[in-house]
Amino acid sequence: MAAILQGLQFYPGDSFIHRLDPRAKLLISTTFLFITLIYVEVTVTTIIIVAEALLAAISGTMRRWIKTVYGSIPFIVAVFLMNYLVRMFIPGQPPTQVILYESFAAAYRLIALLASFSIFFLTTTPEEIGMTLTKLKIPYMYVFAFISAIRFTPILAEELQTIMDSQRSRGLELDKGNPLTRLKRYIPILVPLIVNVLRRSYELAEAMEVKCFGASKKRTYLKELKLRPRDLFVIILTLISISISIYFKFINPIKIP
Amino acid sequence: MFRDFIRKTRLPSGVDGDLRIIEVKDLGFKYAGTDFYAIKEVNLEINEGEFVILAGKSGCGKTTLLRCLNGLIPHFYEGEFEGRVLIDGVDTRDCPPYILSQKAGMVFQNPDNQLFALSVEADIAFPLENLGLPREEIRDRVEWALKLLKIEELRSRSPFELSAGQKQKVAIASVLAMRPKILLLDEPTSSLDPISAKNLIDAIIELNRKHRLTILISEHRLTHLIPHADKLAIMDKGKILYFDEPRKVLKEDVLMYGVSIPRVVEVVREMRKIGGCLPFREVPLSVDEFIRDLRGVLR
Repeated sequence: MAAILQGLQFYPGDSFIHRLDPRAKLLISTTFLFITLIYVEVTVTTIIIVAEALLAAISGTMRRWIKTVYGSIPFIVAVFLMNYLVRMFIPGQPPTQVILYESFAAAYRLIALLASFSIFFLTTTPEEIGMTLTKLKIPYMYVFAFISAIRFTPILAEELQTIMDSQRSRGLELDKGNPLTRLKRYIPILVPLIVNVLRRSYELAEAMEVKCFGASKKRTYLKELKLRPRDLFVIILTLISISISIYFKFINPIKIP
Repeated sequence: MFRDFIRKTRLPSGVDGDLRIIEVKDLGFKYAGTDFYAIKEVNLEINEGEFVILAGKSGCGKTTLLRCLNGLIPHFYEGEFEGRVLIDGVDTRDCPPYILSQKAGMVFQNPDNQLFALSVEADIAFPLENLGLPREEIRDRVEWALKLLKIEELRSRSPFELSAGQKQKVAIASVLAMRPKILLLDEPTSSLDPISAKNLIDAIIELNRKHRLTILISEHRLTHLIPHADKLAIMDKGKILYFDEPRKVLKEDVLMYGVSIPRVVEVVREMRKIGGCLPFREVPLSVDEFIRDLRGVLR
């Protein structure tokens, strides 16, 4: 699980992909997702995965990207088994070979799905994600919530660690007993954590007040995203590939091996 | 219209050419849900450009007083408010916090809880963006604030990469970007190690000396601050007991109010008790002064 999350975290770099406008990258990732969703064929999925791998290689985040794929293996196995077992017990299904193939195709698509957004998150700073959300006309209140989540999660994680350490040093055992007793043992950790969070939220509100949060209805921005020619080029290229995939799927369906 | 309003309230208020920038009259405040006054009968007059230290035990009302000065009380905290506070000629009760923040900027104890954005630059711009200032204006002010605190090289760092001292400097820069005339600091060094604390205090002193910013700082570590202060206020149980030049205040017995006075002051006081062997004319505020006086006596 942690491996998947690693593949969704920004990884600093200075590649063509990193410098691309986040909106273009978002479009690329969405396109991958879209094509994977409308096509079930293994061939198409393979093309998508190769394309994703290629982008990961260009951006120099190949290792992290592979970690995402690697971390998704449990899900993939689960999807494969579910598909296979459920269909085995339902009457009126095609022969085993076909079921096996189709279950494999479903699991394989999941790799492409999970890896598609990895490209976006690996090469886009949280700040850029925030700016993208602003550009997508999402109300600032939500953008601010998103940025705060990124800003304060590590601080809360640190706080949690401190509380766990201090409770452990008082003799609290967290790793023993059955799941239920273990869960109960987390109470002395959660209570101080929640109290701290409440106190912090009050201080934050105070600081926001001092920094004029919500003072003006029309908020301005220091930095704004601007599309450059190369971003436009990439966006047009991506739109063309979406159109092609729609054309061959819905308008003039062709048989893909 | 909104911007006009800001501009109007930012104009110098001195109708009669008065330099008094903070004026507190019979101020009392009782937080909602409590039955005692956090501060009571506080009177305070501070002139423009003064450097004032607020000292006293924890819970003596320092934070409450600072909150009153930038409008968090009564606008953010509810409770019973008595008396009046004039900041730059404006009554805090009639003025929303976002206007007051441009007159009296407030910096809090915990630097982590004051930084909201994901880079230093964005953080300094945060209040200006909230005010809806035009982009060029924001850019100019961010540059100005970065230069003022000498943190230009931190510009594109994320808050996670900063030390506590650097974070606190960013917090100050962010508040100063609103161009207030008064800077209120609530125990800004309490989460810093001694060296970063001294560093931060030096920066604060420079803001006062070079840029004539009126500063009101609540602090426990006075040793380094006192030589530069114009006034020292000692608070206890919600009241201001002493408010005068540090040298005069330190003549009194202020130790029992939880004020950690500079060692040299204690030394001279003890010497006097022994019996006027060293006739210091005045209480020395720093080691340098002490040595100078001592040399004069020995010669």
